[in-house]
Parts: sequence; C-alpha cells; structure tokens
Amino acid sequence: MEEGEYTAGDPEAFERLYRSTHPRLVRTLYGLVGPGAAEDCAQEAFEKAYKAWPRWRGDAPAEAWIHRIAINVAVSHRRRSRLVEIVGMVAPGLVAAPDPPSDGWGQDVTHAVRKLPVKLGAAVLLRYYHGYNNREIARILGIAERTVGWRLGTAMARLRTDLDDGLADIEDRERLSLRNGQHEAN
Amino acid sequence: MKPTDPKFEAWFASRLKQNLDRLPVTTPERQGQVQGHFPFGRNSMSLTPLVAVLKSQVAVIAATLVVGVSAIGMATTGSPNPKVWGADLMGSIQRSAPTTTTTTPTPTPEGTPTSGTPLTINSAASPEPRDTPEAVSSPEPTDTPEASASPEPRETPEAVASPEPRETPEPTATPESNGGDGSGDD
Repeated sequence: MEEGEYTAGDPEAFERLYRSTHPRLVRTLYGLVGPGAAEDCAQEAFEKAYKAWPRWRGDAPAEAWIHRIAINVAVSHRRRSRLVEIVGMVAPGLVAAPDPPSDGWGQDVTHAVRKLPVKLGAAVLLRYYHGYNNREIARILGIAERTVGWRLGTAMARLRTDLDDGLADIEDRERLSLRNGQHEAN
Repeated sequence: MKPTDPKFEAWFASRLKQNLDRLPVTTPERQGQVQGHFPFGRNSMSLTPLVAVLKSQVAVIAATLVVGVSAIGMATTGSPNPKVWGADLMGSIQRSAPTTTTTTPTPTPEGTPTSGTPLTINSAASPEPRDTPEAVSSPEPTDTPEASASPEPRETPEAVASPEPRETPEPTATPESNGGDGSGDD
C-alpha cells in the first residue's frame, strides 16, 4: 500500500493501516519478544501509533513508521523482561515464571533471532523476513546505513555460530542428494 | 564459510519465513473490533479526569497526614517547632527512666519487701517530674529525712560516729605494745 493513500489523523486511514500491517507487525514482534508478549506489544504499538497518528508526516512510509514504533515497544519490553529476570533471581517467589516456549518454538532460527540484542534482531527481521534493503531499514530504525550494515554483519555472524547445526544439516542433505544423484546417474 | 555467505543467508531467510508465516495471527476485521483495540479512541471515555481526581485525593490525604502529625507533635511536646520535638522526646524518656526502676520491689525499713505499686506507674505516665519525698523510693533511705528518723539506723554516718566504737585502732596503741620487743621502732 502506498503511503500516499493515508492521511494523517484520519481514523479510517488508520484502520486500513492497522488491518494491512497487523499480521506482519505481530510476526516481527514474535521474532523479537517471543510468542507470549508479541500480541501485547503489537497492541501497545498500535495504541501509541493511534495517539501519534495526527502527527504522522507523510515523508516516511506509514508501515515503516509503525514498525519503528513497534521495535521501540519491543526494546522497552525486553528491558522490563530483563529486570523481571533479575528480580526473579533475587526473589524467586516475587515474580511469575516466564512463559514456556510454545510447540515448535525455541529450536530454530526464530529462537536464535530472539537471543540476539533487540536492535540486531530488528535489523535481521526487517531484512530477511520483510525484505527491506539497507536504506529502508535505516529509515525505519532512524540510523545510518553504515550502522545497518554493521548490525546485519554482527547479527549474521552470531546467528551463524548459533545455527551451525542447522547449516551442517543442510550441507549434509546437499551432499546426500548430490551422492544420490551421482548414484542414479551411474 | 563466511558469515555473510549467500548460501547461509538464503537458508536463513527461507527458514525464518517458514517459521514466522506459519504462526497463527488473528487480526480483527470488523471496525468495532479495531476500535476496541484503542481504548483511548474517539468513542471511549478518557481516563484523564479520573486520574486528576485520584491525584487530588492523594494530595488531600498527604496534607491531612502532615497536619495531623504536626498537631500530635505540638500537643505532646508543647512546641510548634519540629526540631525541638526530638529533644523533648529524649528528655521525657530520660525523666521517665528512673521511675521505671521503682517497679522492682524495694525493702521497707521494716524489712518487708513491697511489690510494684500503682504509684510508680502513675509517676512514669505523667510527664511532670515529682518533687514529693514519697516519689523518691530509692534503695538508699539514709538520704531522706524519714530514713534518718528510723528507729534502727545501721550503716549510716551517724552510726559510725556513735559513742560506742567497736573496731577502732585505739586497742593497738596500748602501753604494753610501746614498751615491748621494740620491733616497731628499730
């Protein structure tokens, strides 16, 4: 959807923006804060965006603008979670245990992204899930393009270390398929 | 393999999409549901007046507490200056400290112990010091006129100066010792 279709302060335009961006935003937040808090963070992000909607300037795409708000909400949430973890270590009975990961979660790339610092994770998700280029990511996050490149490089190096097993599995399968192909050819 | 290896990036992006796209995200479709996500929206009640009322209530309670504490301090110490309250309190504690020792049984001149009397409790409760001789029931009755007038003064200075000395040094200065073996003079 083009940003020209939205008018700042128009409630109907905001509803359209909400419908079109909500699923993608929730999935971004899944990758940053996990399954337990993604919906809550998305709701908080849309509330903040709704309040700021009259002040939205059309120079940035509305979806990028709302992504920026959501990533800031995720940063705040991760800070709070870290504080809760510290309090939980000091006084275990004072705070509730964190949500357990849902089925199929926590063993794959999404879990590895969630282990990254939230700013690195946001750059990774915007690039490899949403398909934005470095310039667009820089606009969304409000940082320089060089910083985006550095964040992506650092994040991918860490992910590579974390996901070595997965990649090894891929290489094994490729090797196996190559061998099978040779066998069939013979 | 470098961290920015295209093969790794392609594998990572496909796994990330696969994982995030299969997550179920429910987006409200109807307008009413969308509005329900924004409780501070057009048709919802603003919480600002409620917050203002709560703040004013808190201010009233705080002011009442300050005035109440000041009134109690003034009534107790008689001074409007809070700096004096501490000294007054310490003084009253020190004044009441000797009276608390009177709760222990004290021997009467006749030798019959008396239990703690209500008189000492009353004297401890009253802030004004008593100057009556009855209140001074210290274990040294010789200082009081009543004790000096007791029929059997035993360890009083008057008893030492009595005309019948018993263990005085006069018996050692007998004429027999002066003219004896002469060990004292040599």
